Amino acid sequence: MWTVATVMLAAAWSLAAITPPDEAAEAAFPVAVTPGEPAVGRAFAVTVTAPRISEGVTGTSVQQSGARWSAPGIWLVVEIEAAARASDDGALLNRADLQVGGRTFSPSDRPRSMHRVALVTDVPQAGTLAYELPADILGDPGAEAAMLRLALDFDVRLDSVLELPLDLTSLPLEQDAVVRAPAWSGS
Amino acid sequence: MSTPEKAAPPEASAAGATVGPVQRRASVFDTLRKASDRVPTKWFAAIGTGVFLAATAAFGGLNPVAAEIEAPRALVAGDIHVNEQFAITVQRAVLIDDLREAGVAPAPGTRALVLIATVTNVWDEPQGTAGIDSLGRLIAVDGLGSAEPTGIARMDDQTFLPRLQPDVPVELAIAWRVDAGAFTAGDEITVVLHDQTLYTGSTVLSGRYWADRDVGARVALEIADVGAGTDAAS
Repeated sequence: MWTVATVMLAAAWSLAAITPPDEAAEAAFPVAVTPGEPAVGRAFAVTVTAPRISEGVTGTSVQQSGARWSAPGIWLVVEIEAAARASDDGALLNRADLQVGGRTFSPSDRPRSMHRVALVTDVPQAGTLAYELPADILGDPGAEAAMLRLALDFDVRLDSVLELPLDLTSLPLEQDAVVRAPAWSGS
Repeated sequence: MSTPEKAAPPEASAAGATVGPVQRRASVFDTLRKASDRVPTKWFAAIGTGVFLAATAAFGGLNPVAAEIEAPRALVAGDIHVNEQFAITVQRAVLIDDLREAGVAPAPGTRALVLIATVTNVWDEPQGTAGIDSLGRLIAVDGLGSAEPTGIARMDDQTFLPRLQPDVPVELAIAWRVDAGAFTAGDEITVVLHDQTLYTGSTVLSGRYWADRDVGARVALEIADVGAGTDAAS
């Protein structure tokens, strides 16, 4: 009697232990990104190159119709080339978040950049994504395991997410990196 | 009442040899039964009440839970107010004819009341300055009802309705369109800063959202009038 009860208890406990959490039913589908190699998600493909930390950035202003713009501070700057696949209906690069430790950063809306760019089917556009970061970001314990996540929809449940792990502390350091607006990449 | 008790032990001991364990369990219940038989029945209600009150004392007694309501703080220009979403320091208030960069285009009979504030997003995700869950919902001026700002712009590059990144301080111009005669230089206004609580959706909702707006602080400011303004948003 006791052995049967113990066996049943052990079985129930292990079943509870291996059951996935509720969120697993809606989890996103991660796709690993290698810098320099194209990564393919649902309905879009992205190549990420040259991630770097820059003190100060320059570019063209969104608010002032393309006037020269610059800003001080610590920024993460990354070049991307992106195109839609099969259809460009509603294909905007809506989510391009940087996760560092417990904090999430979105690309800055201040310079013209690949932030929320409208993707065109099989015609790649190249440009820069720039993230305005707090001054103490390189001292954040999560800076060595930061993650860049790219997706078409802001809601990534049950959708593919392109993930690029970044070690912010070992990225090249630059001054006044140029944030490039989207342009046809010609490749 | 005493006769059955005296009869029970002889019966139990007579059957003792073959029913050992059963006899031990029975005698525990027997002891309890005998003990409760000795207590007058009418005392049970009082004893039960006493035990219940003693048990509630372990959980803080029967007082209703005292709600933690803090009175809104009274601040002046330059004081910082921190809630779970933003850390806001209202620097000054100015009255200006118009502030296109902050969404108040010139129109006859109206001016712009502008607050210059240093705001830092202290949450762990980017937050906007307009729309739901944004800074615009948290700042109001007494005398303008509950109107949300007409527009918010960054002071450094005039970005309209910027998205604020976590832990990056930004100087903002927060503008309301007001009637030309509503305010004059030297008037004291009160800026009301609200706090919200974070909720995490479950069952039918997904994600986190802010709700339950409460007044967190009131900032008393004196308005300066800059007329038409020279270099308006810098």
